[in-house]
Amino acid sequence: MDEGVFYISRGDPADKNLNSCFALSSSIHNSKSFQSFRQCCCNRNCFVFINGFQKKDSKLIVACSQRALLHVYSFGKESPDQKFPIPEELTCLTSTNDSSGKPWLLAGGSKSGKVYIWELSSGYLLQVKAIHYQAVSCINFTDNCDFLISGGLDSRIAIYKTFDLINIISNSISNGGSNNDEEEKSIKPYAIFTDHTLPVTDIVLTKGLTNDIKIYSISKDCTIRCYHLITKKILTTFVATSPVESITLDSSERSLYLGFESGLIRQVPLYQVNKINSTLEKIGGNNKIININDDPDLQYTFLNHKGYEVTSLALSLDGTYLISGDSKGRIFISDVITKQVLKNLKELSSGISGIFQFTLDESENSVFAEISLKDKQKNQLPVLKRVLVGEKDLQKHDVYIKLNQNYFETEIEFELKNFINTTANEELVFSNFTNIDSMTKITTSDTDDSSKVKDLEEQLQAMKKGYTELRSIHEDLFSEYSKLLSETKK
Amino acid sequence: MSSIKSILTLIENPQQRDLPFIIENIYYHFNTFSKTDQDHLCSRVTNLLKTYHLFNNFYGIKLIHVLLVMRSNGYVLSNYSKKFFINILKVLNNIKNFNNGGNNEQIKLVLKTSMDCFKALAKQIQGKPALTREVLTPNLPNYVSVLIDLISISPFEILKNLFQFLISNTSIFKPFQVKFKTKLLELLALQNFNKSIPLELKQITCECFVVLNFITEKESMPEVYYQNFINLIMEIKSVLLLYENFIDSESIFSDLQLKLPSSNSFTSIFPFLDIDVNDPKSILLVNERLDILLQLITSYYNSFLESKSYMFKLPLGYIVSLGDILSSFNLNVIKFKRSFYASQELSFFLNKSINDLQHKSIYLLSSLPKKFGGDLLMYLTPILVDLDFCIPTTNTKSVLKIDNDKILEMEDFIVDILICATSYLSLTDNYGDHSVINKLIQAALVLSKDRLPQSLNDVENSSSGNNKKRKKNGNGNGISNSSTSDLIFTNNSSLKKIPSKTIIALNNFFIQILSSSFSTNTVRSQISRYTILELLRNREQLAQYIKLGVTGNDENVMMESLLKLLKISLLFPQGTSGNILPFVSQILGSEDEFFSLFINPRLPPLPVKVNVLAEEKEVNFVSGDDESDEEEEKEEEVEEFSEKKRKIEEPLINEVSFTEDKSSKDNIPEVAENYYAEKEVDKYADEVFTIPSNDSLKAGKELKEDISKLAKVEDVIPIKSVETQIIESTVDDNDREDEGSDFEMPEIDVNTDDDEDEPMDT
Repeated sequence: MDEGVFYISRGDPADKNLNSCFALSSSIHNSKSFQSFRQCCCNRNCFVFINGFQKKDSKLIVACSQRALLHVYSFGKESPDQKFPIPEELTCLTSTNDSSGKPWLLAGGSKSGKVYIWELSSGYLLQVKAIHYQAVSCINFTDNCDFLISGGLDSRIAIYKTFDLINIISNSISNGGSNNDEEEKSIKPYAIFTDHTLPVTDIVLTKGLTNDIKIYSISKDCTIRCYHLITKKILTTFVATSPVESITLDSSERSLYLGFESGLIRQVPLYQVNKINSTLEKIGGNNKIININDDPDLQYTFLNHKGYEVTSLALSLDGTYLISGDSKGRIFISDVITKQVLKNLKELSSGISGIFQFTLDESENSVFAEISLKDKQKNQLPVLKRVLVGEKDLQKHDVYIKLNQNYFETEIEFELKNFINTTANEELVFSNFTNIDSMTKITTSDTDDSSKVKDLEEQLQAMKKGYTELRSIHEDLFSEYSKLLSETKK
Repeated sequence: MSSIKSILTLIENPQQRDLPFIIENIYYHFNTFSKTDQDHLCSRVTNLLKTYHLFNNFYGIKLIHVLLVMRSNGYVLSNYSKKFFINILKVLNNIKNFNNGGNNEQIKLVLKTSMDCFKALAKQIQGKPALTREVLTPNLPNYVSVLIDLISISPFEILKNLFQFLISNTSIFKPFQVKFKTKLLELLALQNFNKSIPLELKQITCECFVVLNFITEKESMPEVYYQNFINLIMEIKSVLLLYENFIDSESIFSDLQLKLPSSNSFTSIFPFLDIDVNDPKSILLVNERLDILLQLITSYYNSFLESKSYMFKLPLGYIVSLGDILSSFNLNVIKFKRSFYASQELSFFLNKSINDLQHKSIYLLSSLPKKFGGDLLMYLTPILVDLDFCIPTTNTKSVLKIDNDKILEMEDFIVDILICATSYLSLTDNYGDHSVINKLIQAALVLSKDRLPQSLNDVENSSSGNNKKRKKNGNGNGISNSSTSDLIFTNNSSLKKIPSKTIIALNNFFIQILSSSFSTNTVRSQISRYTILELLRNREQLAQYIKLGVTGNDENVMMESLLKLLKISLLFPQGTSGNILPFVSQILGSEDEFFSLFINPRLPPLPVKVNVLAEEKEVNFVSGDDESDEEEEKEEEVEEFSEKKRKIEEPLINEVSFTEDKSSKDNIPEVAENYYAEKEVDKYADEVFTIPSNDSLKAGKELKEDISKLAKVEDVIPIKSVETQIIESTVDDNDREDEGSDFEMPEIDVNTDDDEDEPMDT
């Protein structure tokens, strides 16, 4: 078991061939480094892992900056495995699995404010929807894949039901078969939040049942807003002293971690002690406004990145280590309690644009060594289409599947006791549990037998006779022949 | 020495009672025997296979199995594996040649034992190239050939073995491809395939057939797979078009033409059907053919080919369209051609045949969600409409109502529909169109109600004939919609029990309805009523199930679904009605952790700075020599702190209650709880991950440098924060002398004041 972190940079705009762009991954707890990726850089929120990290079918998809291109990386190979041209440059990217855990949809927001949704098993472009008035800065699916939430530079947060967006068959029926503008108009957002006054820079979602999901959004307007997804209400507004650039949330919602332009990282505890009854209480709710004032005692402040904008944040699996990246390309692992830096990972050539934390089993550590090139070719993603799926395509709807559903029972290891028991049970087939130990035989009567024997004896005698006759004839002939032969020789 | 002699004697004259004894002895003591004795034993065992006696064969094969799997089996493997394999083959050949209808059970057993033994042998040889070359490669074709010949004796076991060969040793299979295909076709074409052959055998036969047709194509496997599938769809289409002769429905057949692929020439698997209208029963041949073909369709996406990591393309749209077309064969809306109404027998068989198509549609649609998951979501509405369409309805006074009597009559079919609908609804929690599945919900509610036996039911129907109000509320065959307490305390002995399969299906369906956002209050209250009744009926079994866990039988599956339904009812409450928490807490509050947590909610443990003192000490050590006085003070504080901390921890460890003393209550239970929880987390993290040790000192230095530099950066020096105040609120007045220091006491120690000594003194 190991825990690692993948980090990627923005890339150098001068380096057009992306030769100096690398994305790296290494362990949080030791000096081990995992896979690195060449020509791999992107804007913030512009990469996504399909099927997790370093598994047999894992893929990394990166939306290239300033290009309408997606790079797909497989594990075991540094350079891009597949390249997909797309309709326009994407400014954010996300994916979701279906309820069975199979990779399902890939969604990206573009500079023009449109959101593109592809089906990963077929490559079909299922939906193109203009959601924002300016570029989409962040996009996310809820864990149960029911909602798609996007934030834009137009300072809005839009929420759509995934089902509404991809329900193209019913939509086209309701629109008389057309799958165009009319249909697009008919899809209404689940909610639009317009509380932010400046561009939304990132959003994070809490985990749990759909009823419990909360959205934390950060913006250039120095506020962090918390919304309840189902009730569509704002719960809490946190007001910071400067624009918030990055955010991460403790998985059990105990603290928020905010990265600022100044290089400070601020921990905001989400529980406090009630002064009256001395019990812990969750802060916020009921549209409360909470000021995040400066922290003179540095109890809640990380100072590791000072002077450089904190561009990306992530937490370790147990929530005790904070992984932070800055605009210089540095990446630190700090202890959330002591605020000390425990480790600094290999620096990248340009600002960090994304961090992804993952865990690995022992078996997964060497998985990419086992994957042959042929396997990788067989495992490629279907080509992502550039045009919206048409009616004819839908009639066929060719999806790519893997035949790996094993219904055979798993092989049981040999165990002597079980083997003996099974043998004893099987032996019963040969047992006789009745007291009767006799056998019914169908035999012919003696008279029949004797007559048969007599018949056979007669036949035998006849044959013997015939045989002796034949033999004597043969001997005669042979002697005749030998005589003739000796005469001709003479 | 004596043991080997006795074993050899016993083997010479095999008796049933001796086998376990010999197996155990061989397994544990074989390596203690001399080489001569080992050879002797092995040849005796081999001799058992040379006889024509089935028991001796069985005996010998079992002993070979043990010899192959025992520890340190190198000698046996290298010297005897070939001999053993050849002799097992001889046994199989004997069965093949002399199988004259003797004791079939014994033959089957010897066959199964042989196959198990071969599996063990293959497993032992795996990864040993020399042995593979010597033993497996020359004999495997013979083995496969014999197994194919013996399919008729034990088809399921043999096909299972052959299927594994097919996917793992494809090249060996090539010479037998035609022979195997013929045997499979024989199996598939058996009369009444759908009825007389068990489902597992049907599945494995179809999977073998499907896989055999494309796996041998090394280069173009995915292409052949796709083409075969399209051919199969076209064959099904051609079979369905036969109904055009009997039915007057343009829409169905135009759909069939438009939605499914068509080609003038496609290779069909089976010969043309011969339907004779004068022999009405022959119409059912269509259903039998469709049954095989649909089984083949499902085999295309359910086969297991892990070793071949190809991605196969499959036209999902065609499969869904096929399901849609099959479900549209509904007797409520289609009409037969006039000429066929004349013959009662013919219309009876036509009815039967068309009814069966809906069952097939449900079968086909049910097989999809598990494999295709989210890809089906775009078809969700049409599929749910199809399922809803299958619910029987009556048209009284131009109002369409569900037919309660028919629903109970067709319970199995309705349950299948509900299972299918559940699998589709589970694809999303946010399906918002309530109207689409209204009939499904109504049908489920009808099934969820207790049924009266037919005789009582008739009486009730006649007595309540004039009672309009009652009629409005109650469903024909259900009991009236009385209050929950009425139902609990009535003598329900005359009620007919709901079958467990129905209950499982209903529970799972209701779970989906409750967790989705569209269910109405009326529906929810009816589901709550059903849930409470089920809870009360099964309270003891449920408590026992929670204690003992799953064992896999039907009742436990029922309990599992009921428990999940209870949990979902609690997790997704809507409106004020139907809150089942009091019921659940009363009955199961102390049994299940989930319910306990629901009644006693708690907050997540917060991270606490537990090691702060040690770290501060370390930082001080690194930072300054000139602050020795302050350091001494700190040391004193540390000692004082640890003393106080010890005083707090002792009672905590000894589980002393804090509730008696109000002064000690201040925040201690929470903080203490958190403290231990965090400790646990740390401990866990230490166990799971290996943390580099030398980084911490370096990090301490860096932090100290940062702090010292920070003093120079004026911008960073902030004003007092809200959170600081909160923490300060827990700090006692006695600690105010520390306020001037940069290194304040952490929150853990602030409660360890003199107050804490009081309970100790008392």
